Amino acid sequence: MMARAVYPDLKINKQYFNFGEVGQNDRRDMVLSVKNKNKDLALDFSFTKVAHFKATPGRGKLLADCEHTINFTFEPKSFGMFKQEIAIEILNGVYRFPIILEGNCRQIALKEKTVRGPAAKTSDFEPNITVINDEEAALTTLKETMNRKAKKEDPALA
Amino acid sequence: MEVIATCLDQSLSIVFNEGGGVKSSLNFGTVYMGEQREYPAFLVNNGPQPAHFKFKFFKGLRNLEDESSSNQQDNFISPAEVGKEMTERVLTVFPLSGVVLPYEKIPLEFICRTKKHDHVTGFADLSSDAVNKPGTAAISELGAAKSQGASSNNVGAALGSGKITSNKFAILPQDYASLAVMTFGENGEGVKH
Repeated sequence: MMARAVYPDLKINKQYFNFGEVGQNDRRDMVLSVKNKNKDLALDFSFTKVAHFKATPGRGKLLADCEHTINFTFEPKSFGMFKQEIAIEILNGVYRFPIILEGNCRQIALKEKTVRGPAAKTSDFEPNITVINDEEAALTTLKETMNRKAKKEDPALA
Repeated sequence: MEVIATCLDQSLSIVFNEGGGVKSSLNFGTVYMGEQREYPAFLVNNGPQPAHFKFKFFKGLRNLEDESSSNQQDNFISPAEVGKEMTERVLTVFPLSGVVLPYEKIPLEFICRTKKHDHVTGFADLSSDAVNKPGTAAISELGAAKSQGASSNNVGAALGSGKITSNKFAILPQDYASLAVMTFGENGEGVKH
């Protein structure tokens, strides 16, 4: 009986995400890049669940020698400064790699009116994903976010 | 008085689900450290008597032909080594012992349960003893009758050949090999796999 054991070779581009200031009822997304550097074996992964933050997809399979993107969402439901540790678990929790997620919420943002019922289109059910990078997260304030939303609703302001 | 007896062949064989007849080796291939992989099979009793079987494991691979011809001292395994082999066993089978009824079969499961690699931090990895830690040197158990001695020999060979000079912090793959010996019957006739 023979076997060869290799260490799971996983590469992630960042271990710290700061979403900056996000209003209540608003959301902001950042992208994590995950690469399975093993040439032959796929790798099962899953993310732990933490409040106010979400990883999409939450679980799945990293194909061999492929790079995948994970979407982190900060969607605060209450006021406060939030700092959570979400962990990417591989091989059903045998290995855990922590990732720090940080964000704060001080004001209520404009709540978009959702269209439902027979008049709703497919796009109305899709979340309004706003992907930002580190620089944007640092610079963007709640006021800018609200302005951006206002411009989106009324193109004449742009 | 007339005495009549019929002589039938009694044999135990291991049949794998995928078919292909009797196999003498089983290769789990490449698995992740900490992962468990199972290989289902059947133990078939092709004979009229119930067969008691028991699996024994020896670390490393041996030449089965040479083992019978070699002397007793080469085959001696100390109780400490047997205990260590039992506690640190990576390749195993379930069940380890049992009875197969006449012309019946029971399911067997060959299991490869590799150990998780524990990341060592600090200055420990920089010490000269770091080569003896799992994953930091090419520790091969192939053909090792005595694990400690054989491992140190292999490490020495790896150092001599410059295998670990490229990246001393790289976690190298570990090879596991075990010889499973299945004994059955009252006289302890051995079937080796």
